[in-house]
Amino acid sequence: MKYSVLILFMLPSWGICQPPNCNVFLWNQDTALYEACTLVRENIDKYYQFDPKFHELMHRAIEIAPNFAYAYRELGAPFVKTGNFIEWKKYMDQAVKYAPLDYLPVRASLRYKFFADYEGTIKDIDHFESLINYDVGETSNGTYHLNIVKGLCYKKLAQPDTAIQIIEKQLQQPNHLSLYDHLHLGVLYLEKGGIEKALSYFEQQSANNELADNCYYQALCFLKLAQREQAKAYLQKAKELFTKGRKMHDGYNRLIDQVYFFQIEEELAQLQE
Amino acid sequence: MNTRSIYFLFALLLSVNCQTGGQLDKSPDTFLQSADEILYDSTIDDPDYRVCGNYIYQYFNDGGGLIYEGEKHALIETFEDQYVPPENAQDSGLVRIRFVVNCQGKSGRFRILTGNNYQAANLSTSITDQLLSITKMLDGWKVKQLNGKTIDYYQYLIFKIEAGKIVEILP
Repeated sequence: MKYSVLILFMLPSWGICQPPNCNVFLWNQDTALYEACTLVRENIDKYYQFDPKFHELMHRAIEIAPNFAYAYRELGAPFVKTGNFIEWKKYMDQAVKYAPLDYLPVRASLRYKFFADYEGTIKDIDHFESLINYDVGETSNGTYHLNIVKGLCYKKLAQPDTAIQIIEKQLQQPNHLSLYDHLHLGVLYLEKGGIEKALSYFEQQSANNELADNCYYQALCFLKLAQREQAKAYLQKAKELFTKGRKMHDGYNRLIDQVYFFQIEEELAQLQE
Repeated sequence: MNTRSIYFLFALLLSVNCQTGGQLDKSPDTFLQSADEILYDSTIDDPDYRVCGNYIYQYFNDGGGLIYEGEKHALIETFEDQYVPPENAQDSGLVRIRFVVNCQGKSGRFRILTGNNYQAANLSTSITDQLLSITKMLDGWKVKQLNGKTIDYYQYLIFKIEAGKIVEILP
């Protein structure tokens, strides 16, 4: 079950990153968009995203249909990955302009993930929500539901109560999939001193997706409760899981609440003194 | 291959396919200038700094992200120890410093980009000079490998600055 969940998390990114279905444009009798889309669809697999030929392809598509949002998003993609916030935003804004329902959630996801722009992320999510009558869905890479991201933004903006409220509400939604969400909520409670609630969420995280980071936070809870042996056991488990690579991970950025190996070792050393 | 491995492999394939700029699944077939490439500039770059290969990868192409001796924490501590916010500074915005880490873990070809609200904007040199100077002194960059070979790669650091203070370092 755990691994099925992992696959389900990847599915949103599969859809959003692929070129659109060109027949939709034909159906809408927009032949320019259809032609631009077909050009991209037939050639996109030939080039790496950083390749100048990839950029030429997207510019050719835009010459055919200046409102082809997907091409703008793709032009911006390498720049978000090089941290070039100016070039990325220039292209991403164009994508949002021409297809806000497709790209507002993408822009929100990337503002959060690559530029720590918490106010901007909340603004984009709220704007997107105001335009739709369905669920806001997941981030562009599928790691989080956008409401979880919104909650984490409020945490970073020093509004932990708002963060808790948003995340708890989202976790109550039927069929909500959680990769790290219970851990984040547990940490929010731990930081407020709500140890029992924190432990309860860490247990749910553990049942769903066991991680070194989660064990570390469980250990901190037991230290607060002056249960040193329990804390030690969780720290040892955290160390073991960390060594096996069972930890929070992202190939681009460090995640909020992600634990360093030295933190586990430091706590263990203190307990052994 | 057990069921667990198959699930992971499938999930990885989905993920990689989406992120064509993520793990590099194609051999670069061109040495033309690519997005945000840093070419050697004799007016600002150390003439003795060398890259090892013909192609400079991105820091995420191996799926490992930023790797630094002592993890990112060590890097953050260095800035906490050495960066001094200018008195009465009001500057806010993002400062990106991008550079190359060669196959020996040495850094070079530093480039700085500054802005506010996603627009190019100057921040005080009392901020940017310090950030650049500390970044140049960082010596814990780890060597990356791809397909068993050591590579040169681009790395960047983004500093989120509020009233002259570093409030966050990315990625």
